[in-house]
Amino acid sequence: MRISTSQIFDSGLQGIQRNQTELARFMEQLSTGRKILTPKDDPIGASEALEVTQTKQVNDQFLTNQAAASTALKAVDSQLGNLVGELQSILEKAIQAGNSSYSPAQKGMIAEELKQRFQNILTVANGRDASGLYMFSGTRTQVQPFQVVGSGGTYNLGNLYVSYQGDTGPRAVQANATQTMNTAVDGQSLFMQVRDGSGTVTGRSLFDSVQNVIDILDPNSGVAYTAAAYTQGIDDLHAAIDHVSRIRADVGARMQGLQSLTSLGEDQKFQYQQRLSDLQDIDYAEAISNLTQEQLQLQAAQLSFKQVNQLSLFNIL
Amino acid sequence: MSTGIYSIGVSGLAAAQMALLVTEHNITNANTDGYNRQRTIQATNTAVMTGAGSLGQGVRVVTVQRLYSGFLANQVNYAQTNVSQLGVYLDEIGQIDDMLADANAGLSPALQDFFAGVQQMAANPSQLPARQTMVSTAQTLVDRFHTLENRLDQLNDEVNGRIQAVVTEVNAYASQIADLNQRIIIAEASFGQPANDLLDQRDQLVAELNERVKVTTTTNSDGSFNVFVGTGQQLVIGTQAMSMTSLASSADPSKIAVGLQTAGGTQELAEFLITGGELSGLLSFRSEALDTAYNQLGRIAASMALTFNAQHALGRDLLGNVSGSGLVEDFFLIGTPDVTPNTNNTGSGAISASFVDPAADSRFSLSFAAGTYTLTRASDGQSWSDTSLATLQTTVNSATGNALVLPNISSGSVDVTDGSLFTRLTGSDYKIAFGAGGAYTITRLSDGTAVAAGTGIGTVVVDGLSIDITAVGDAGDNFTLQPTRSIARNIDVDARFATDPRLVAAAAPVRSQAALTNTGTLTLSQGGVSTGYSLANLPLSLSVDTGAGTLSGFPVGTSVTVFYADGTSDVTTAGSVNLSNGGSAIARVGFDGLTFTLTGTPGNGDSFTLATNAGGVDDNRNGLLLAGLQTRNTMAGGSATYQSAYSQMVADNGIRTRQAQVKNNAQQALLEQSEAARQALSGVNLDEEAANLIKFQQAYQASAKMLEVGSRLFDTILELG
Repeated sequence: MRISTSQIFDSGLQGIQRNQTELARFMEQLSTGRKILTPKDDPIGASEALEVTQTKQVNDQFLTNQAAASTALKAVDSQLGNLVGELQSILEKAIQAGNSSYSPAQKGMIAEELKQRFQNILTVANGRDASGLYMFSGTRTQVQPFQVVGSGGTYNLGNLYVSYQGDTGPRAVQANATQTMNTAVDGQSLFMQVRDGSGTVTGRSLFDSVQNVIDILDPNSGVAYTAAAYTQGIDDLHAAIDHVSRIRADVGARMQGLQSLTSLGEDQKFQYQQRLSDLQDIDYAEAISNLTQEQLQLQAAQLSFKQVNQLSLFNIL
Repeated sequence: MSTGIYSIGVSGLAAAQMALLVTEHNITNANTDGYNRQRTIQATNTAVMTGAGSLGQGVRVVTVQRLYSGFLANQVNYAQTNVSQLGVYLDEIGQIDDMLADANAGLSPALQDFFAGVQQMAANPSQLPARQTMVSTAQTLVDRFHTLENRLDQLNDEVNGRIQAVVTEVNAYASQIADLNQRIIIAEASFGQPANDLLDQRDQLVAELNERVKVTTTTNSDGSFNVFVGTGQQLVIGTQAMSMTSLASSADPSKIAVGLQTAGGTQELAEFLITGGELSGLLSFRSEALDTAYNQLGRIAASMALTFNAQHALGRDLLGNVSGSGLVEDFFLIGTPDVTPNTNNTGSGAISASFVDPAADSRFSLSFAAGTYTLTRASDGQSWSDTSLATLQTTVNSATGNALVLPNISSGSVDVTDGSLFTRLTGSDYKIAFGAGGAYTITRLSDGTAVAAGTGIGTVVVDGLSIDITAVGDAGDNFTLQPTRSIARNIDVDARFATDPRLVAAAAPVRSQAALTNTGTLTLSQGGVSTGYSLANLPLSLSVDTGAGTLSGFPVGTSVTVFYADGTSDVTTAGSVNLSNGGSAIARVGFDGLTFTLTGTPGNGDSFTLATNAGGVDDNRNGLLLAGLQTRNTMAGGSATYQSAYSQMVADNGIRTRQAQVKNNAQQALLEQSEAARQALSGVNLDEEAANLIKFQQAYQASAKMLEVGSRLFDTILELG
C-alpha cells in the first residue's frame, strides 16, 4: 500500500497533537489537585460531589445550631441555679422564722430579708439574654414577663401577686434533620404552674408562695400569722424548689442530648469530607506517573517525526 | 524507413515530455488541498500491417488520468461531516459543561448560602440584622440565577450568529460550485477530455461544503452535476445555485432557523432535515443541550420560588401581618410561562398559562354522601371516589405522590392536606395544536406524549401548569408553551423585603396557652397551619370535662377533625370532641386549617386558649419550616430536592458532553482512516515522483538517441554514391 508525503506529515503531527492535549490535561489536574476538571470527566461523580457538598453543609449548619442551643441552655441553666439558690436561702430563713420563740419584730426582720430575696427572684425572672431579649417570656421576648399586680389577701392562681405577660411558645433550633431542640423555658411553666414532687399542681405560683410567706411574717402586711398558713408556705417552698430542680434537670438532659448530637455530627462531618476527597481529589502518585509517561510519549513522537521527515529521495539524487 | 524512425522517435519524445510535465505538475501540487495526482495514459499508435509483420508506429498519450475514487472521496466526506458536526457540538456543549463545573460560580454555593441565611433568621427571628442577612443571601441567589441565564443567552446568541455565518458560507460554496460546473462543461466540450484540475477544485468545494452541512451529489447522464441538501432539497442544479437563508423560526422567533429560498418564497427547513456538518451540530446543540439547560435552570428557579412562597404565606411577619391581612406572601417574584403563537397562525386563538400553586396541589376536600367518599383536589378539581376510605386513601396517595391521612367523615365535607409542598414541573416545552372546530391537543415535547386534549375554551391543568385557552384558533394553528425558559432570568426578590426585613414571615399565626389553674398534664402544641386556614374563629377557649370525656368549645357548625393515638379518627360539627376513642387517647385536633397535637392526661376543668400569635416576636415555627425546604422533596412531583435536581442537570449535561467526546474521538479515528485510504490512492509521494522524473528523463534520452541514430542512418545513405 502506498503512502503519500502529506500523509506522513499529517499522521506524525496528529500523534504529537494528541500527546500535547493529554499532557495539558494532566498538568491541569496536577495544578488544581482535582481529577474532575469538568463534569464530563466523570458526570456521575460530579453530581454526587454536589450532593455530598450540600449534605456536608447542612450537617455543618446543624453543628452551628447545636452550639447556639448549647450556649442558650447554659445561660438558662445558670439562671435556674441562681433561682434554686435563692429559694433554698428563703426556705432556710422561713424555717428559722418558724421558731416559736421569735417575736413578731424578729419575724419582721426576716420578712425584710425575704423581701430582698424576692426582688432577686423577680430580677432573675425578668432577666435578659446577651441580645437583650427576655429569657423567660416565651416567644414574647420584647415584653417584660412578670409584673407585680397583687393588692392584698392570700395569693394563689386566682388572686395573683405577680402576673405573666409572656406566652408559652417554644424557642427552638433545628438540631438535626428530625429533631428540634427547645432552647428556653417559658415563664408560665417555670414560675406560675408549680407542681410538687408527685406532680400535683399546688395552685400557687412561685411568687405567690414566697409572697405569702413574707406576708405572714411581716407585721405590716395586714395578713395574720397562722400555723396553717405557715405550714402551707413551707410546703409551697419545698414544692417550688423541687419544681425548679426538675426543670433544671430537664435542661441538663437537653444539654446532654446536644452533646451526643454534636459528637455524632462531628463524625459525620469527617466522613463527608472523606467522601468528597475520594470523589474529587487526584491521587498525586498516579497523576505524576501519568504525566511522566505522557511526556515520554511526546518526546518519542517528536523524535520519530524528525527522523522520518529527513528522509527524501531528492536529498540523494 | 528513416521517416518511421523519426516519427516513432518524436512520438516517444512527445510522450516522455508530457509525462515529465505531468510529474512536475504533481510535484508542485503535492501540498494543494484536494489535489488528486495525475499520470499519463499511453497507448500504442495504430500499427502498419506489412508482409513482414505488424510494424508498431510508436506511442501516443491517450489522456491525463486523475487518480480519484468517488467511493473513497465519499467515505472521507461522510466521516468529515460527522466530525464537523460533533466538533461544533462538543465545542458549544463544553461551554455549558464548564459553566456548571465551577465550584464557586455554580448554583449550589448560592443555594446553600441562602438556606444558611434562612437558618440564621430562624435562630434569631426578632433581630433585624439576621433578617437582613437572609434577604441579602436571597438576593445573591437570585443574582446567581441571572448570571447563569445570561451565560446561556450568550451561547444562544453565539449559536444564532454561527448559524447565520455558516449559511452565508454555504451559499458562497453553492454559487462557486455552480460556476465551476459552467467552466467544466465548457472545458470538457472542447476536446472531450476530463478537466482534471477543475474537477479537483469542484470536489474540494463539495468537501468543504460538507463540513458545513451534509450534502449528496449526483451526476446526470448528460454530465450535469447536482448538489442536494437534507432529504432531497435542491441546492445546486447544474449551473444554477439556490440559496439557503437564516430566518427567525416560526415557532419561536428568538431562535434562528435555516430555510431554503425557492421560486415560491422562503421555505423553513425542519431541523431533522439538516443532517451532518456544522449546521446540524449547532441545531442539535441548541435543541438538545441549550434549551434543556434553560428549562432545567428555570424549573429549579420556579419550583424554589413557588414552594418558598407557599410556605412563606403560612407565616406571620414581625409586624403581625398574616395571609389576607397585610402579609407580603410572595417572597420571590417570578414571571408566567411563555406562550408564543406560531407566526404562520391564521386564526385569533389566545392562550395563557400560569404555575399551579404547590399548596393548592396538596389540598383536598373530602366529602361523604350516599355511601361514597369523594376526594377533590383544589388545584385542578380532579376527584377520586370509593366506598372504602382506606382504599381511597391508598389510591389517591399513589396517584398524586402525597401522604394524606383521611379522617373518618360521616357527613358533609372537610379539608384534608398533608402539608407537603412540591411542584410537578417537568422542564419540558409543550405544543398546543388546534384542529377543526376548536379541538386542540397538548403535546409534551420532551417525549412526544399527548398530555391533554379538548375542545373550545377552557382550562387544562397538567404537569404543574394551568393552561387557559381563552380563544380557539383555526385548524392548523399551533402555540409553543415554554413554561420555565425565562424564569431564571426574571426571578427576583420582592423589593419590599430589602427595605423592611420585618416583612419576612418567620412566626406562625397561631398559638395556644394552657390556663394557669389547669391541674392535669394535658398540653396542646402551639399549632400549625395549612393552606386556606382561617383565624376567624379565634380567640377560642377549649375546656375539658373528664366526666363527659369531652373537649369542647370548638365553633359549632365548623368541621372539626380529631385523630386518636391508635389512628382512628372522626369529623364532627357539634363543637365538642371525645377525649378518647375506645381507650385510645386524643392525639390531634384540627379545624379551619389549624392543627394542634395533644399529649398528657387531662384534668377536669382544664382549659386552653387558642389565639393569634400577637407579640410572639421570637416565634420561629415558620422560619424552621422555610429552612426545612432545603432538604424536603420539593420538585418532580415530590421525588427530588432543589439540589438533587441541579445535580441531575449537571450529570445529564456531563454525560451528553462525554458521549459527544467519545463519538467525536471515534469519528476522528474513522476520518483519519478514510483519509489515509484516499491519500493512498490519490496523494502525491515525492519520492515516487522523484523516481518518475528519472524514469521519464531516461525515456526522453532514449528517444532522443533514437533520433540521432535515425539521422546517422540518413547520413550513411547520403554518403552512398
